[in-house]
Amino acid sequence: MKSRRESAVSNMAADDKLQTGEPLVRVRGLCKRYAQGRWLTRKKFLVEALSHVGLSIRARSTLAVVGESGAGKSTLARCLARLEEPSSGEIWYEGKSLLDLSSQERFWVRRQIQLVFQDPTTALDPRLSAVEIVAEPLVIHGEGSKRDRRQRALTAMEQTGLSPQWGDKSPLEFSGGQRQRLALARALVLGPKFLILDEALAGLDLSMQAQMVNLLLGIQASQALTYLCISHDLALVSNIADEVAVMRQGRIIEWSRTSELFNNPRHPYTQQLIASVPRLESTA
Amino acid sequence: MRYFFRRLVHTVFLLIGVSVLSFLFGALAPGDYFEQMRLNPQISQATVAAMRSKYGLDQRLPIRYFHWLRSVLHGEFGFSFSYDTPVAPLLVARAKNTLLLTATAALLSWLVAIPLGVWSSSRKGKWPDRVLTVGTTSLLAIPDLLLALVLLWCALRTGWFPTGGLHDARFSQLNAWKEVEDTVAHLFLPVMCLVLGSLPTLFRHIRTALVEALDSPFIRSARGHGIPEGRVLFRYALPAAANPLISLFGFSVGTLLSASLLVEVIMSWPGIGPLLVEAILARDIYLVIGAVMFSTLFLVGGNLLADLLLYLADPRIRME
Amino acid sequence: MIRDRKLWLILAVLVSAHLIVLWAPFFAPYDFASQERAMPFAPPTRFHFVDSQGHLHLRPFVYRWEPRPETFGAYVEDQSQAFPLRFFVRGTRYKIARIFDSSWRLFGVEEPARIYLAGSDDFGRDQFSRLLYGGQISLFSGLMAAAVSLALGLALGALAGFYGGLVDDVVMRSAELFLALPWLYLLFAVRAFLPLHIRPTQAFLMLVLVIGMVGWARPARLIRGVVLSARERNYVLAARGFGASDFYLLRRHVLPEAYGLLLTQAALLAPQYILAEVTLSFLGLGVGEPVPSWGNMLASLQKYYVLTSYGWMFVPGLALVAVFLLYYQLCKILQEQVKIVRF
Repeated sequence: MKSRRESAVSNMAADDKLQTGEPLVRVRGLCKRYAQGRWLTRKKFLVEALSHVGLSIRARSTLAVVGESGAGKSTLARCLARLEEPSSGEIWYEGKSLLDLSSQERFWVRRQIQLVFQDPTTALDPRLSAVEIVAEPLVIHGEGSKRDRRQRALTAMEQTGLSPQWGDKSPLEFSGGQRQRLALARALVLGPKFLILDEALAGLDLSMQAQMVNLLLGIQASQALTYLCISHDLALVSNIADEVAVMRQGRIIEWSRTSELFNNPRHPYTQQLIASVPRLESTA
Repeated sequence: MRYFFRRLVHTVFLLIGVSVLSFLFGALAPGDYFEQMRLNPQISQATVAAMRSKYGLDQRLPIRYFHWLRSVLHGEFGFSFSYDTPVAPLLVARAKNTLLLTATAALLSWLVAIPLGVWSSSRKGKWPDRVLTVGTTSLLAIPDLLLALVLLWCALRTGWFPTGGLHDARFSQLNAWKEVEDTVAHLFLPVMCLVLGSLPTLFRHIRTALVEALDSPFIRSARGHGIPEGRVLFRYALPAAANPLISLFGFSVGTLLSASLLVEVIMSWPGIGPLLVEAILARDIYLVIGAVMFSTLFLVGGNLLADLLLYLADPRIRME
Repeated sequence: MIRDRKLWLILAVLVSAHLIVLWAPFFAPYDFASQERAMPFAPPTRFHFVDSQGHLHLRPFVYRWEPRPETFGAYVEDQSQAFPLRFFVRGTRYKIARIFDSSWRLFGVEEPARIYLAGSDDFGRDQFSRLLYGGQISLFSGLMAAAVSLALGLALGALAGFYGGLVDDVVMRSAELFLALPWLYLLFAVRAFLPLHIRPTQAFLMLVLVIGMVGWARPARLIRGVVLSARERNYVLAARGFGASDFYLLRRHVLPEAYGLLLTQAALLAPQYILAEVTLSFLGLGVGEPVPSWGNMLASLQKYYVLTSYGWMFVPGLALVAVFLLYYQLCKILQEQVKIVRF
């Protein structure tokens, strides 16, 4: 059974600048521990959010990480997006270690790796207008004049299917799906190469999800993006991912190509997960 | 019980911190008690220097603090220059009067505020509520200073109440019942001033807490069961509102103490207030620090009491 | 809508009051130190329209207060000469803020009559004039001290809330110390350790700094709370993901949450601090003679004979009550507005 994704890949143009053999992102032995308890008695409880996680993601491909709540998916996303520091382990991006960078390099890397959150409402500052929100990364990186930034922001909005006429509206005036498109536009405005979608489609209804999936696939093709898609929804994942990794209690317990995972799940937990999905979509 | 032990330890640390803070301020102070003596040509510089070193004022700050701390542990709280005695006995005598005043005022203001607040919340929006709300808001705008002066004026004009002090001159000659009567007569004005000053805030908070409690479903069901309104108000709504009110009590202790300082000075009530002002004007620093520490003691004591009441009143806290 | 109109009205009145006391020399018929020893505790001047011969005058006029012989503080009107009330008269020269120089005054009467709108004190100084000059000290020290407290509270609270950890602990423990004392005792303690006799010009600055610095703790805690919750918002995290600096995050996303709080705190603290200055000056620990402040003007009421006989000395108290009423109304409206904005 070919997933919809695999069909799309085989229809793609073959001129790739990036070597599809070399992984864009590589993670090895990633660990993240939280200490809980008052600061005088710090070593009381240690929570292991990530435990020796290892992954690699090829350029222009999509890796999905699935698992139930608390499995450590979001922690992984945040470590990769450099919003949190792992306790130990390695993260490699385009062959460079992300963990020991100078502040300038770190700043540059921020343009390359972007994170889209689950809840678009809280991810957008209600005090700003839509175009201001999308242009914010440009402001932070000091790019261009005010007019240039506005233009680029409006272009990004158009790419995600939002009318540039809505640029001056408050995000509160947008629907849930439109807000997520806004968040996506903001993530794209700097021209990143690696996009992390942390349950980005979870809050949307099914028709919205389908639209967003199509949008994401289209953008991935046109802008040569690599996706890391975090979800607990296996049906969704089957439509969008090349490879799937299953996480449980901070560990990766299975990692294989999408079709293989769904047809031949090896780990009993994976089998349980798949069995609980109501219906898997099949393409002709 | 572990909760209280922790709170107690925390309080001790707090008191130590306050004493250090006061001492630090003292370090920045230019001049001291003997400054005026220096200006007096009849007293030689040597004498002044000798007095300074006798009281240890020429030593470095940490050493002075250490000596003061030792004095505290001995129950003396340092030495007062103007009274030429240890600070503690002076303060204890005054503290009793301040406690009498503030405790009476606190009790009375809550006794008045609760029925008024309850009544007002049950008649929300109707004219008794509006009158009370407007009245208390206006009262809030009148500072304690002014209230005290106006009450003094009333006392002077009518002669109904003594205008100052704690006891009559012939106090020692009165029998026990007359003693009480005399004290109450002297208490009346300062207490009235403090009560009128704290009433508006108490009333407003009680009313708000009760209005919120009255909105909850279990009150509606109580009413639906036909329980008389009085019982609903006092036996159902009030306990539900107890939590924020007890916290309010803890908070109001501080404001009451500050208010009492001023009222004591204006009405010549022999409490810690007038002593503090005197000490400031005389630059008697150990007395100042002692007075400040005592007031802090009262404040944290009041807060601990509020915590205890909260613990007893709210079973949810006991479960934690 | 109605709220808005009320808000602007109250603000207008408050701002006018502040402006009037700033321009005190113009609105006051006399300088604050100008004495008239012959007229101690003169009652407020009475205005007449009909003179002793029964003639009606369109312009109100006053009579001179004549001290009753062999008495102190008792007066009878000297009806021999009528002194009309004049507007825009020339009085003693004055300077406002050391730049604006003039001698125009809004109203006055010719010598030897004195116009005492609010009576005079034991040195024969016009209480109305002193009220205006005193308002400069009392009103503005409260306002400026509130600004100092809020600035300190904002800085420390934002640092504590944003960075957490040790900084947070240090700031919060210090705040606890400052809040452990009853505020008036704390104020007095700090005042105690400063020189007793300060020149009036320095006294104002000292008062502002002392009152302001003593009260930083409560605003700091409130702002810390706001910053803590704002810091965790996803849009802050997103901006951080773009590489935003801490300063940018604070400025653009976190601190704007606190502006509403700052406004309500300002309206709440200003009257408290005005009262603090008045209390200190009342007890002789604030601004001293001859500079008037509403506090030291009320101090003479501590003498019983003044309290019972010369009621006009209460005027600064009435002014205080009026100002407080305005501020409390402002507070209430602001609190409602801020609540609405927060949905």
